[in-house]
Amino acid sequence: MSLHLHALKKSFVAPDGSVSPVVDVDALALRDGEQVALMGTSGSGKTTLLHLIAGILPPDSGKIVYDLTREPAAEERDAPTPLAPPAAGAGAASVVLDYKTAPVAAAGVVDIAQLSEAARDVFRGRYVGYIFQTHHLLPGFTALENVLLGMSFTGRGADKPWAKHLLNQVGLFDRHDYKPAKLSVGQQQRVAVARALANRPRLVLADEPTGALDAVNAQQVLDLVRRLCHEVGATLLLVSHDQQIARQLPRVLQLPEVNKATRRPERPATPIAPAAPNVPS
Amino acid sequence: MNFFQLVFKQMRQRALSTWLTLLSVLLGVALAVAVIVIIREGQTVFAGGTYGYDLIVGPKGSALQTVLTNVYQIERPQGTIPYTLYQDLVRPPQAGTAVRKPSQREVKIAVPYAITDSYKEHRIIGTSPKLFGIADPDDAGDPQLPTAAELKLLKAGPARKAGEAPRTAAARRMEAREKLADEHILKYRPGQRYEVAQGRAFHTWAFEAVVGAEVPERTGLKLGSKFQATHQGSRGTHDHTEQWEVVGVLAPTKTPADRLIFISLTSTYAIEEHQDGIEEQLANRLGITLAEVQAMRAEKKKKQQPPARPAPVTQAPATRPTTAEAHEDHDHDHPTTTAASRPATARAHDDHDDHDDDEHDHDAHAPGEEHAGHQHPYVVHDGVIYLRIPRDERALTAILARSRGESGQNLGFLLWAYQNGDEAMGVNPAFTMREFFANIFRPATLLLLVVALLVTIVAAVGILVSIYNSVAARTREIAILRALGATRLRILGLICFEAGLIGFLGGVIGIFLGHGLCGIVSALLYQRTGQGLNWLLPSWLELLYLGIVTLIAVLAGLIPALKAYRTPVATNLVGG
Repeated sequence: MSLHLHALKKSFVAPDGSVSPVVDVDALALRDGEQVALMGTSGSGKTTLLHLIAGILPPDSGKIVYDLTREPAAEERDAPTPLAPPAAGAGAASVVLDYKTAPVAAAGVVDIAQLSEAARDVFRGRYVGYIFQTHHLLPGFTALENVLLGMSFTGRGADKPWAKHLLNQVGLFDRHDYKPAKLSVGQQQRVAVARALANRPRLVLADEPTGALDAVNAQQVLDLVRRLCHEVGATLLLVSHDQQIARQLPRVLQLPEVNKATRRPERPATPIAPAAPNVPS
Repeated sequence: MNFFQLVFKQMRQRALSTWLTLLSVLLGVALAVAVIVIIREGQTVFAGGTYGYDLIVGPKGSALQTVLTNVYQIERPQGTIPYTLYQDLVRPPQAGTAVRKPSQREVKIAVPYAITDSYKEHRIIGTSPKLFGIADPDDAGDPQLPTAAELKLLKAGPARKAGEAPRTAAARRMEAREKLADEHILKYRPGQRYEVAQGRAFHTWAFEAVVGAEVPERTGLKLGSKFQATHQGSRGTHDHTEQWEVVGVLAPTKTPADRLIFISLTSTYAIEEHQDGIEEQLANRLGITLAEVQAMRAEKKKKQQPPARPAPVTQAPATRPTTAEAHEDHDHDHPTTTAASRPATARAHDDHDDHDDDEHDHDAHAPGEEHAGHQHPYVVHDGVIYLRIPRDERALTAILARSRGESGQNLGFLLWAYQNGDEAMGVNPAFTMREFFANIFRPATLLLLVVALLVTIVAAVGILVSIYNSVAARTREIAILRALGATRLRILGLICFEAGLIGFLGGVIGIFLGHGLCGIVSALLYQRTGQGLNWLLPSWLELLYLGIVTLIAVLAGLIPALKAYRTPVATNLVGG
């Protein structure tokens, strides 16, 4: 699955009634199975961009196109091959966002910006996995139940073996029946990772998944996220303010802040270097 | 996780709040269901209208109390009516009277009822053997006194044992036991009559009793048992001297009659202590003082005094007859003298203080000789009670009767005649109970139903508040579910379903609890009256009520559901 954003804009109305632009992306493309980091300063609209891509928020204008025409190879889903995490510091140089024009929508291609809210919710439940910064597990549900919740809105039945497999993959072999209160922060985030992958998504959006973790846990979680995304053949867009984390991914994108006066990104558009291949170590 | 699992999970998360809300719902539903069942059963029991008789003649007063007293054995009698009213109903109309009075012309069957005392808290009722299908010779008049020859025969031999042939005409007449045709037997319900399952009906002029089906188990009385009646009056409780023998046990009727003890009406009047009551009632009826009544009775007795009989041969002290034998041929009143009761007779003779004069020594007079100041209400010859009380001084609690014909014309006349008379009133039990049900019972229970509905509505408000607070506390959870792919409509459905489920579960449990409450009411009613309720039977009204409760609960959940529906996702996902 590939993702294309084109002329995407989103503004919010401030309490004083003034309109404040938050997101202004001319073009962004993610290839199938690619793992991309998205960096930006605080307030640059990273989370809002993720919400737009996930269909949680509707854009003011523009396109958010999912190309679902390519199905991931069977072996990528059914016979997962664990990958070693990429070496720290390796990966492509950080580049400015690509402002290319998105391709025209075709069969198997969905522009979720044109969908109704309910349709976007359904789409998200089937094709998108979301990892929040603060896990956002449901406190009354066990680890296993939280993971099962991730597949509750796919339109398919619950797949308990898959849920257990995911929990085992994130290292929580003996924590299936633990509620979040009985898990450490790192363990809770692992459950959140497993939940995001529960519906075998085509795209995983991770909003600072390591933001609340210490360095060791952060690295472990990052490795898990990358490995599992590769396992299910999902494209990964990971937001992080931590360069140590971001630089481990093959491609890093910088999201500039929008100038509220000009309503345009701070940095001018510059040609970008070709995206580095998604080469796992 | 599927939809239901999500809902149950959410409810378990707030188990205490959920259960408390459910409790309020089930209490409201239980109350409503109990009222629904009681209305239905009350209609069946009280207003079903199926009585085997269509007239109760009783003292002036409350028609409802007359029915409750004589049919359901709940209330106490309001007073008495003259026995002569009963006589009128079992005889042809008197010729030459200016005003037409109720008589056999209008009444097909009439049975006297005298609610008297009790035995181990079981009401004793004096009545006629006609109630059990045996012709009552007392309707034709008092038993004829023994002839001289019969007296001689009685005196010559020992007292008659059970099973032996009667020695007097009166006893033969009493024991003839002519069976009545079915159409002349009073039914307690259409087509259902009192059947003697064990033994036989009592003799009309004997100290005998027939007990209801439950009495043996509850009191220990059985065929052949003897008992004394207990009188509960303003001066306390005491047992009468006289003893009755149980000669029959009725088949179950599923009515209060299963707990009654029926004795012969004649034996009711024979009770010593009842004389005072008779005189008081006579004084009230005639509007004169007690002293005037006693003077009137004394005058009457004087006029009715038979010529003095020659004194019988006095026996030598060494061969003085037993107390029973000595008293069979003189005007000295005691309980029926059978072999088994002789010790009691002797005790009664020694211990009772019911004589007008002081106690005296019976050895001092010859047997059969009358003695001054000693007025017993009866004498017993050959097992037959001879009452000294004139019929016009006797009283009844009620007369149960069935009018002739099906058109109701005769019944109408009877009700009118008694209504316009001074001595009694006529009551149609079916009509009275239907009126009671329609005017008092039903409105009262409907009011209760309204209260139950209000309680349910209050419970629904409780659901609203509980779930609203829950939604307010679960804003982030709702946002997470939305982020995972749940639509707004699904979230709304989850909340409404949760509310509806609380209402439904509370309703179902409430239905069971309501029936349980009715079971308790039925047991209490059965204990009191011998008649219970069919409390297990469900009705479609309960299902309808369950549906209404569930709907109200869903609607109550709609307000918090709309709040959840409008929960913004993005703003509630930000932050930790």
